[in-house]
Amino acid sequence: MTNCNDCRLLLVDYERDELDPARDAAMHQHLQSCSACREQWEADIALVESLRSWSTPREFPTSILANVRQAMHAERPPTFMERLSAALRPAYAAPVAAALIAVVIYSGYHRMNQPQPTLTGIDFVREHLAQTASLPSSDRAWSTYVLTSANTANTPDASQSNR
Amino acid sequence: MAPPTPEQVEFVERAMERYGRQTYNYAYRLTGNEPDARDLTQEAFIRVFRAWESFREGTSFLSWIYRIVTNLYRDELRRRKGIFTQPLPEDNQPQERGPDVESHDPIATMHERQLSASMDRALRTLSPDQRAVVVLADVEEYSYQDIADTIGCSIGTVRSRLHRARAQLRKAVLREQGQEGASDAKTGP
Ligand SMILES: [Zn+2]
Repeated sequence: MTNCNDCRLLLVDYERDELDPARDAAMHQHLQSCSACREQWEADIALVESLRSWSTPREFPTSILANVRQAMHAERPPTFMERLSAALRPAYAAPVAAALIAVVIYSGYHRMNQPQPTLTGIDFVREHLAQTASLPSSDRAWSTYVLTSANTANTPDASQSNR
Repeated sequence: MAPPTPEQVEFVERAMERYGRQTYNYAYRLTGNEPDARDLTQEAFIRVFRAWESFREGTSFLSWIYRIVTNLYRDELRRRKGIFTQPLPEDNQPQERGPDVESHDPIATMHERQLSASMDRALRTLSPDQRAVVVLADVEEYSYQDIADTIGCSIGTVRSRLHRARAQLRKAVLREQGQEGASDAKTGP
């Protein structure tokens, strides 16, 4: 029953052992006698062999295990304790602490920037004079010196412009 | 989404332990490169995790996950318009080799690499369905019936796909060998 056309159509099935016994026997017989079909059959076997040597097994990458586990974990709704510990994790604790520090610094800075009585040298001296004047042993010479030097120090341009 | 049960996690863990390597190798044979094989395998196990209840006891887990991998591969290839990442030269080198395969002859090693690279290129000429059938039939050595069950088509379809794929692959390999022969002649002493 087998001619070359039939043989070529069944070659893959024959090679894979997928034929019924009668057809298998007929194919076997044809391949014994037909060198052209046998050549084709051998080429097919060589192709399968090179496919198998191309496909040398590889190890299972551990990154797959880790990623699948992570995905499974991600799909589980976290418990209260897990949420709490997640919030306290160093990765979160650092930005949270930084934010808190920033708030404290800002509020301190803000308070400092409120309109406040600005202390000048004169104010300081006046205060000092007010305190020392009431004392019996007040050092008036020193007070006058401070007052004058404070005055000159505050008006450096005035002396220059008078020249 | 309902929280996963410990049994569900255990199911996936055991599946990865028992079938992870085979699944990864199948994905590698379909995609021809490591990063895509990793992504495909990973995604397949995540699908298993989500649909674990649809697995029927007494059926082949490997067939089930191969089916998932094949579908993912087909969808991804369609999305990328037929192109998977080009394998890097070192990607062609399997991580695990027997001592008998490990050749100390640099020419033999180079020849092996060339063969592997030309097979990579030849396989890329196949359609995703043809490639899946070739890998299942000729590498995994599945029967027509098992391939039909895995891919979800008739035995007749498997048979005709394999016939066409083999013919196509034979042509592509011959073309590759012709090109290699030509380049060898050019660069030869
Ligand atoms: Zn013949």
